[in-house]
Amino acid sequence: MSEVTKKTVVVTRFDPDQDEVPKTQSYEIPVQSDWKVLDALNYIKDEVDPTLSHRWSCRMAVCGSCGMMVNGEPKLTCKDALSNYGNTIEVEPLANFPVVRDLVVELDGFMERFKKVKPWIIRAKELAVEEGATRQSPQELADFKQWSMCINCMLCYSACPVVGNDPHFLGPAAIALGHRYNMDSRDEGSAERNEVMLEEGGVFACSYANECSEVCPKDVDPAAAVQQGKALSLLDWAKGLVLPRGSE
Amino acid sequence: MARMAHPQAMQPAKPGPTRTAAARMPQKFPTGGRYLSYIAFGATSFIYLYVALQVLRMVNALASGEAAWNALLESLAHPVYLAFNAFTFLVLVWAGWRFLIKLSAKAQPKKVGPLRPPPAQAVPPLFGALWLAASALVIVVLWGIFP
Amino acid sequence: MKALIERIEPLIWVLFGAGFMVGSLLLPAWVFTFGIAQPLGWVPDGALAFERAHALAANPLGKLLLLALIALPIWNAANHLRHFSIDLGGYERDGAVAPLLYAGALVLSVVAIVAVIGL
Repeated sequence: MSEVTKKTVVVTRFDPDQDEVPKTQSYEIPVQSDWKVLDALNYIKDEVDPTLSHRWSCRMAVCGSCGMMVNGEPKLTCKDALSNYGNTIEVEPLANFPVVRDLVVELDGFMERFKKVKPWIIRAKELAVEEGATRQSPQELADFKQWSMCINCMLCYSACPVVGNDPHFLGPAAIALGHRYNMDSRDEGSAERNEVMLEEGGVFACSYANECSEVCPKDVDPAAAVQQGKALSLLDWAKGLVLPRGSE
Repeated sequence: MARMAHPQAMQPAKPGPTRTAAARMPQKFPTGGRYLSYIAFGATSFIYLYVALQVLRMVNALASGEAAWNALLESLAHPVYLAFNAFTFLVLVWAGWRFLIKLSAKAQPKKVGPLRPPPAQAVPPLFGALWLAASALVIVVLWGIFP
Repeated sequence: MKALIERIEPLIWVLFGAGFMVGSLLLPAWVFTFGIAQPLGWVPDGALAFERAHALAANPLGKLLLLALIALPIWNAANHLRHFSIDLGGYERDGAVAPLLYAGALVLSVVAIVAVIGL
């Protein structure tokens, strides 16, 4: 049986029907030594204050729902142990996002960016089903696999200084996903995607803070995708100077 | 409280059905935690600018003649200049380490068409060796060893 | 103006990267020599005497290298300062800041070209 102690959780609250701006509320609760931050939030909602709103789902760091700022760092609250912290823990909604309510942020801005990078296999000509499965070597898989592991938890957006300052920036996860498809041997759409990567808010808006990769809970390393994307977009851009669009 | 983010930061094109609170930057931004190194790295631009302008000054002095060149060398011996240039040297070493060793490693694409650049693990030792070789070359030339 | 900058952004990035490369590889030893070693008398006599320095600088390879040592770090600084400005909440003023910084870099590059030609 794990030990029970008391901790104070200071939570950001915001009710658009009542509050002008977000405020904080403190809850002193009993916690077990093996709890994650999410367990503390669920305890608050279940036992203390049912009006607290927060997103969560899988409890095992694969769905990406429970991202929040814990003591100023973006974390998956289902993964982050309470024992990492002292007697007081601050939980805020993800930075750089508009706040819908309490710890719930507006994610439609991300969804728009997600769609912009065309995250699907693009082929000049679709292969017929009768031709069988497309073969891919282990090396070809290794070329893009790490960037397919993104769970869209948005911690990278919260850590990125450019996301907060540049309203056009596509952001780490969207660019990493575009890069995942650009590097997939089955895909033929990198020229199309790189048009988006070269627009305002594309790869060159990134200033390589590397914060996205520092906070990623799945070791996706979006910063690598963005920097590699800069080199590859540059080559497409240079090709475009020599061979005008439509002449290929 | 954290700084406000840009008013349009991560705003969707179509607003949602309820009023949202404005986005805020992370609490630690800009000088807390890892952000401090990042902001300091940005500030090294001033040092690069300063050094480039000093090299320009040297070129102009060389073009003006021996008296101008000797005057420039003498001026560099001033204690304030010496202290600032020592600080500049340290900044260049730190910025060089961050750029060449820390950040460049994973910036190489895994493949460019049929070509494969060196893997990420090979880049820091490669760039480190290049850095040492380049520095040695500068010393050899400027200190009169060769030519 | 912003649209023009956006169209040549990859070129600016190459200049920025080249500036960082050249600056990181060569400038530390350069600054050590001129800024520390020479004032402290560590550099052998005559190594940086006018005749030798001018001969090294005025040869075509020397001119090219000096041009690279001046212009490329300036492009590095211009682009890096632009992003630095945005980081400190300056997205709205980027429309003015970016052209100013890049125009400045262009002007200084021309000044550098003229200077090395004059050697």
